[in-house]
Amino acid sequence: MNVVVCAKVVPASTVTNQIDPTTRRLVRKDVTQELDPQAAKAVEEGLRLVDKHGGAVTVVVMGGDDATIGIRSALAMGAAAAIHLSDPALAGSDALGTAKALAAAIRKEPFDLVLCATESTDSSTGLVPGQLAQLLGIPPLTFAIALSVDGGHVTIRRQSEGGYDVVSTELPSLVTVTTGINEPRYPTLKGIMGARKKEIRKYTAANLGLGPADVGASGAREKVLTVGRPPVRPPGKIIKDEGDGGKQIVDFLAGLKLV
Amino acid sequence: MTQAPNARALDEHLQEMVLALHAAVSRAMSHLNDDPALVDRAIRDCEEILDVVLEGNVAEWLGPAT
Repeated sequence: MNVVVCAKVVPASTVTNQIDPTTRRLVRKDVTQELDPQAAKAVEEGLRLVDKHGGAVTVVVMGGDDATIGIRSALAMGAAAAIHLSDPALAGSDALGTAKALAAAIRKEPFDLVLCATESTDSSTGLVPGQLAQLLGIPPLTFAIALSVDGGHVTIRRQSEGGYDVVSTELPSLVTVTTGINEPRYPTLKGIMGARKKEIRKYTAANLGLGPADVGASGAREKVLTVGRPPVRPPGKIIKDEGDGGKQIVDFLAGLKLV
Repeated sequence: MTQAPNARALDEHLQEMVLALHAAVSRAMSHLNDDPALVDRAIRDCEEILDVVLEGNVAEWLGPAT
């Protein structure tokens, strides 16, 4: 089976994210990048499926030149090939523009299943997978905490507040995976060296048949109006146990009407 | 001292190595108490990467993939 994984390359977890006050976008230039840990889980799930059923995983990433490091990580994990959507004309795309670009690239590939993270760790909109499924004309299954393929069907356990629902649909389809679905493998030396032989195809917006009305800042219908920090939280209360710690805690909780 | 022929490629390769080490160590740390075999494997994988880095054969890192 052919699995396409939509991945994102984000500022590394060791980096403190900064917002450009003028563009209101995340500062990515000259920042250490890595494969989004959420996307790594989608890559891992794809690899497990092809380990079991045969086939190949292709990773699709939209991002600047710095995204190469994350793409190579996905290849080092075991993905067979990668597609890099890299073009200044794509910069500033909103969620729909991103979905259009990803859909145009995926349509060029034979695929049975598209896997995405539920949301990226940097922008966390969670909008792209649903839009992508709509553009590709395939059913989306979301919030998967477990995933299996049997014949022409994919079945997931869909995480819910009280537990999970089991839902199934025909392939081809799109599945979004949650944080808890797996522990991604890490790239080994063999994987890193092997990744250098793997193909990374590059597409521009023009290659995908997309223009300024579709993608990039000019095509974005969604605008970030302001960016702000969350309100400062009041300091917590420290209770010293001098024999009446338990009572103090109960009194404190009673004051909050929690007990 | 001769400058490395392709500093960016070298940067990226080293960064890949460091990210792989970071991932292996993180994975091992989260299983210290429940999966000693996984921890051993992660240590071996880290050792393998560090051996190559310490060998310092930059030309091999940046040469054509074989």
